[in-house]
Amino acid sequence: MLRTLSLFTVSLFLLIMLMSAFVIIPKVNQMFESQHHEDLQVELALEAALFNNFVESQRTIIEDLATYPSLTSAVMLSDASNRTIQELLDNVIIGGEKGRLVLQDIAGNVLMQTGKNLQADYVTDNQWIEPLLSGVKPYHFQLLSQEGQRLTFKMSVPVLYNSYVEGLLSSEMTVSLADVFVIKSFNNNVAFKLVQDNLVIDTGTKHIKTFRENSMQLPGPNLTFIFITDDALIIDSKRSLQNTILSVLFFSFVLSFLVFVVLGYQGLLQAQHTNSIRFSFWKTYALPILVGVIGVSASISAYMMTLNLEKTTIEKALTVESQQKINAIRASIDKNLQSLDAVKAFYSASASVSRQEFKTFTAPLLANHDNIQALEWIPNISHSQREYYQQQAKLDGISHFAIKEKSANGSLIVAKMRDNYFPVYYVEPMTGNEKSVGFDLASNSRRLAALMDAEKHNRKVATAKINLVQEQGSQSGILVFNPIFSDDVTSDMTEQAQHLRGFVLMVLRVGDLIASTSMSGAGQLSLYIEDVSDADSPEVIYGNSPVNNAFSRAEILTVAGRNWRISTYSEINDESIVWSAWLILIGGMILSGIISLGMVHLIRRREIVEQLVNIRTSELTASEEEYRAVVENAVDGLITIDEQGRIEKFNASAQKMFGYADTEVIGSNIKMLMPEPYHGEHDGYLKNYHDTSVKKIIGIGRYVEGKHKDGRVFPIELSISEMLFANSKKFSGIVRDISKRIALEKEREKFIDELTDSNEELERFAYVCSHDLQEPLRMIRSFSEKLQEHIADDLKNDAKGQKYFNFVTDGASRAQTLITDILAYSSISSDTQILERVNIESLINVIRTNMLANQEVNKGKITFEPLPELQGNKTQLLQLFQNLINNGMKYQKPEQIPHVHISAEDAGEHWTFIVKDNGIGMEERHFKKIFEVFQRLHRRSQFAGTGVGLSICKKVVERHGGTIWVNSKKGFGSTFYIKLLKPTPIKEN
Amino acid sequence: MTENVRLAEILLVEDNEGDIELTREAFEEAKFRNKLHIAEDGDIALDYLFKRNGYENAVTPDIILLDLNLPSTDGREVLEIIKAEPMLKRIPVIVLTSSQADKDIVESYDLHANCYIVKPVNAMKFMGVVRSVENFWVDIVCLPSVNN
Repeated sequence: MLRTLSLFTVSLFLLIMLMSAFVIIPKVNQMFESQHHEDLQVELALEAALFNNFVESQRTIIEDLATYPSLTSAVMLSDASNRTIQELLDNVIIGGEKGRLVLQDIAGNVLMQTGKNLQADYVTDNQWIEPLLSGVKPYHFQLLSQEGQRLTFKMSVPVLYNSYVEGLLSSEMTVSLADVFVIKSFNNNVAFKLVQDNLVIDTGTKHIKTFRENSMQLPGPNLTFIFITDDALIIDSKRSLQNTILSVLFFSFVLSFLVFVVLGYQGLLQAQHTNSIRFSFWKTYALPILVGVIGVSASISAYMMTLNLEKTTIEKALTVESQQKINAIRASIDKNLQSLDAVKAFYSASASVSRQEFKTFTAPLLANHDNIQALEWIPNISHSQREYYQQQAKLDGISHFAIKEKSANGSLIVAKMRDNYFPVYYVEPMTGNEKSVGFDLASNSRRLAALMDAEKHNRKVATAKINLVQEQGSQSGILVFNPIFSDDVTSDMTEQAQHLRGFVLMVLRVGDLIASTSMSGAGQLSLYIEDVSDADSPEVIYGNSPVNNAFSRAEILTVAGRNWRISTYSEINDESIVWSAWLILIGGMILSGIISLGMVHLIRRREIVEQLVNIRTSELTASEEEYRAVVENAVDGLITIDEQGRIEKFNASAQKMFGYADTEVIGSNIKMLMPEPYHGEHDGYLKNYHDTSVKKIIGIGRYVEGKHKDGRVFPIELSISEMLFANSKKFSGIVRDISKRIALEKEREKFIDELTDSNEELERFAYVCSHDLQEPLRMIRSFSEKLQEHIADDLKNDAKGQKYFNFVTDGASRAQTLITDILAYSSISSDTQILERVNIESLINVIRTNMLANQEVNKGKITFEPLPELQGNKTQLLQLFQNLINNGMKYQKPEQIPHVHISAEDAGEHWTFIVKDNGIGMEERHFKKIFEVFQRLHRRSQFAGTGVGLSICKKVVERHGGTIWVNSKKGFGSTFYIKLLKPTPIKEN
Repeated sequence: MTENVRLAEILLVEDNEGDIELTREAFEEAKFRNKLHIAEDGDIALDYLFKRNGYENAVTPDIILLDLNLPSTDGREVLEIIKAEPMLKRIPVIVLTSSQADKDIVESYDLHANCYIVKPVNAMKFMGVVRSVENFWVDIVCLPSVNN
């Protein structure tokens, strides 16, 4: 039973293992896989969105350019010789280098082009133009080539006038792949591919071990975006998960196998010490505790794993969100900075830009970039020019223009006299920025630092966080300076300052900037931006620093020479996500508990049953041993044979009887123990029984003969019984050697014969004797009487002589009586049995008549109640009753009148005759003696007699199959009881 | 005769009148002065010996002559009772019977009979045996004192 349970446990584990191998692991894999796939889809979408953003920002650059009014008019007129436009295009800087631009009219004719090495075919390839012209597509993006880590593409946008397409502006741009895909911001196990019209651009895939490509059709750029991830990691995790599951199962299996072995061994021990085992703590609880511990550990591990998995999932989601947010911000800033480049290009193309021209140029830019607070023109004004500019501004309609600075108390005042001023001269849009007009940016240290940096390095430089002059709210602001030099910039720094015309400036409110990124509001993450250009004293630009970091991720973003650290964080631990882990933990523990308790219950039950079984088994064994002992020690031989007659069992007695050891006969045919004719006929008997099922000997005893090993044939008594089993039959025979019995029987028969002979002889002898002895006795008696008469005279005085004569005659007379009685006694058995119906009443009447006639002196009474008839020898029955009645009359007290009363009682199959007298009675010790031959209770002088009468009665009764006994008390008469069979009913015939 | 010669008391237990007569005559002819008491059956013999039922004044015999075949209580029973009774067991019991059966002889001696004699069929021999018995058991054999 225990082993069965262990086996069950092992099987269960094995089953679980197999199930895990064939069901659970693939299922887990599948789930893992689908989760992974989902993650990848999300990432793909994100990356695609980022790429779209990139394309959009590039498009913005060209569109910004395309909205320039002179450009529009030049296109409308197909004026290929417009110098201004040509110069503008020549000075456009895209991505830090001169833009390669192509301006076409609606017919596709190239009006102007700048830069060298244009890769696209603008003259003959017109297929892409039509969708732009018809307004189906807002732009055309075309991959051109890849050179190492650099990508060249073409971006074409329509040139619009009042929403009508008037021409086409295209730009060929070469960018670093790293800028396009921001690979470094993600992880190193990804790569990207862009496929457009058989042209494939990729970011390099050497580092990918196991490819997994997820592609997405991007309708905007009209290309296939392929996101490549390395499955090696996921495969590794999958493998490690599988290994974990399998090793846990294998461990459990090994453990359970050990348990099985230990318990199995215990079970064996137990089988040997059946009754000594009681409920032991370890035996009962070890396995359940083990199972419980394993279950709890497994639950905890599962809980940890789930928790970990969940956390990883959440973290990943948050990471993705963080990346999305940061990338959006990056894209937005990049886009704005590009537009500042466009303004710079505009300035570079023109020797002077009027306030109106500035307004006209920046209007579409501002419309496109609604998160730009303002675009400004900051001219470099020497003190001598101050008055001129103020006048000029008034002419432009700015009535109260003055160069201002901030006083110590924060209010704006007219700037003090300096060598150079950098006032805000043009501001677009004016609305909301009025306050800043005229403000000398050089008057403020932070602005001045950026300004000088920008001038010094001829590049865009952002300020540290500042409070905008026009700020109404509480947002941080930054300014980005882009220096404009009057001549081509040389590397000679000393000369640059001489030619500095001023700065185009972009004013950004950080709050607006963040708000404009589409993803800023969504999601769980908060933003926190610091300016960490000075690592020692970071300045908060946006948001609040996190109180705690449930999740935090940051990236450094370079914004026009300043380093911003953009942190995304979540302060709340999302506990709801952990419920499944808790569910697994609690559920697993409850399940373990239930299983353990169930096992305890089962084991206890099993132990009870086992002990019961042990008790029963030991009882059974005892009885079996007893049975075996009985069989083995049986006096009778016991032989069992199978259906074919082969001997299976041959006990000790059988071995002794037949002279064979059991090893000699087991397996042999039973015939070998039989002499002819049994030997030859036995097969036939068996076959006959099989065929007909007619039993000849089975179930009945029979006398047959057996053959001893030494060839001796001896008589046996054989009884065969049949034993039916589930699918076989056996016969068991009990064999008894009856040689001795038969010998004894023969001897007995001989004795009986002899005895019968001698009895008959004796009776004959007694009969003869009696008759023949009468003669000489008669002689003695008669002649002694004669002699007595003859010498009567002589005897007259001789008393002694008389006495002697009396002795002689008396002796002779007694001898005669004795002989008569012996004759009567012996004749009872010698008489042939004459069975007849005897009327006892008439019998007694005869006796009474005779008696009264013969014994007149002794006048007795004989009475009787109605008496039944008997069946028997009439003479003998007469003798019986006569003797009893005689005795009743004889053994009497002298003065008493004898009375014998005869009655009968019904005793079932018998009649009991009761002969009761009123005589002298007798002591109890004589009740048996009186029925013996020649036994007397009285002296002859008291009562004459031979002691034969009652013997005759007894013999008669016994000859009739009855019994006789007496009951008496001395002095109070005797009662004789005669019990005889009732006569058989008379047959009517 | 002499004063120191004590008269022996002999109890004859016998139901056959003929044998009683012969025994008595044998005693008379021998002119013994020993006294012969007759008990005609076993019951009387026991009454006599235990001095009851009218035999209260009976004299304890020195010798008992006992027939085996007696009516009522037979000789074997009488013998057994005598030999089981401390007051009587020292009295020599001479079994005098007509039975020659080995069974009776063995049984008698087993019951501590002092000797076993078969009655001769001839009357003269019978009387001779009786005289011999008397002679041997009274004159020759040394008997314990009655008072003991």
